Amino acid sequence: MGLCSKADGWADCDITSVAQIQKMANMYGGSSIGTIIVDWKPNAGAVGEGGHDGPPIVVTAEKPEKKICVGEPYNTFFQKNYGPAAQGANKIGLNPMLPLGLAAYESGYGTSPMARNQNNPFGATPGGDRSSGVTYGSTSAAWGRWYQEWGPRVNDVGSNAGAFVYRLTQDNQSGKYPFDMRGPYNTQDAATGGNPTWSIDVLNVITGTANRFKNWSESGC
Amino acid sequence: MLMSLTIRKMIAITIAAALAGCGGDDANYEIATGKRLAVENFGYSLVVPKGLHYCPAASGGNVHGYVIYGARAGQCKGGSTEDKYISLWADFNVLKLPGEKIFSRNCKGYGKNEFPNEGNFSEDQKRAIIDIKGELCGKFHGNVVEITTFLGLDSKSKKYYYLGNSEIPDRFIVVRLSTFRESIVEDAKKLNSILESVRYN
Repeated sequence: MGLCSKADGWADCDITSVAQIQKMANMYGGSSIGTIIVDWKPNAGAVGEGGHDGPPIVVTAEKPEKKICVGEPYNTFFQKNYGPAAQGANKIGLNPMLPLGLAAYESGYGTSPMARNQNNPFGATPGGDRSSGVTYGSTSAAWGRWYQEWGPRVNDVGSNAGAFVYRLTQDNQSGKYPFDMRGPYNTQDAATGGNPTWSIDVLNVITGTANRFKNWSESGC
Repeated sequence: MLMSLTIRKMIAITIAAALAGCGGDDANYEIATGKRLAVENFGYSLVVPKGLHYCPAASGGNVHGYVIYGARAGQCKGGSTEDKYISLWADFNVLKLPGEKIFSRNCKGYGKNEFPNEGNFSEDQKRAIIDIKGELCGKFHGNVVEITTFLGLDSKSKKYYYLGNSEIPDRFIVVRLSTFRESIVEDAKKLNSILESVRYN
């Protein structure tokens, strides 16, 4: 398995649930999920019944006819998190919707106790295995820490949501890849404390977050 | 008893350094004392039967639940992968789809009432499977039996419940049991004990 990088044309990425992601995109209002790339693997053969043999599919934004207020908890989530997410993302050429979607997954769009009470949208814990989370001075500080920890891993994925989750799930303790010496964000193996559906869950939430953000940013609500 | 674990594979998966906001410590598993364990960020707690080993189940340092073993030679963040375990993994329901009323995360395989009708399970084993709490589904391959069931946690009502064809809660727990045919009866009891101990904080 290679690096799953832009330099390699994303050729070694291996997410097989493209059709499911596409279905989710449709559920969230046609194809209006911004510019998230939901399939990047040439010859994947997995999109719809006809398969897919060609360049990445970019699900493009379609402006909704009516402005939609996203309501709570989304308003507060975007108000608190979009700024620091974008600030860090811009530095590394990353679409902020990707980590924003991850934060939405980990915090229930900011409804988790740690997000509400400890400025901790990712639920980070001391040592990584304690139930009591880290308390940050601000949400921006939490995002700064996240980019410090994980930014090097995702600094060239742009809007490629598949590559984003793929990179995070790699075990790089051996230093195989140049970005860090970390294990996987999630092992995706229940036997080792992971969630077997983590990748697809996060991809789904990224899709929903992008759509909700679009509505939020355009609504003026 | 879960003490009779068979180690299927020894792979060095370490999630320590993966955890956000932390360094790469090598925490050992803990042995349950019967005290209630909290999963603070997802608003629930549970009791692991005394003597069983457990490790946190986490994503980027966010503890979603626990994975529970009988005995374990390795460490939480770099030990063995066991064939036998019970895992509880909570998620926020962040995919509320308009009009969706039924919990849709049904696993593929054998339904609760279909499951024991194949595979030469004894009557005791069939009964143990049927008696597992919740709207479970299961599958088996060879001697390995895998059961999944779900609990809902509703922050408005401050209640938890076993998911079936019910309203989608704002968070839920996916519970997985992986075991062997010969130990399904005793491990199903352990699973039920854990399920019955879950409380909404």
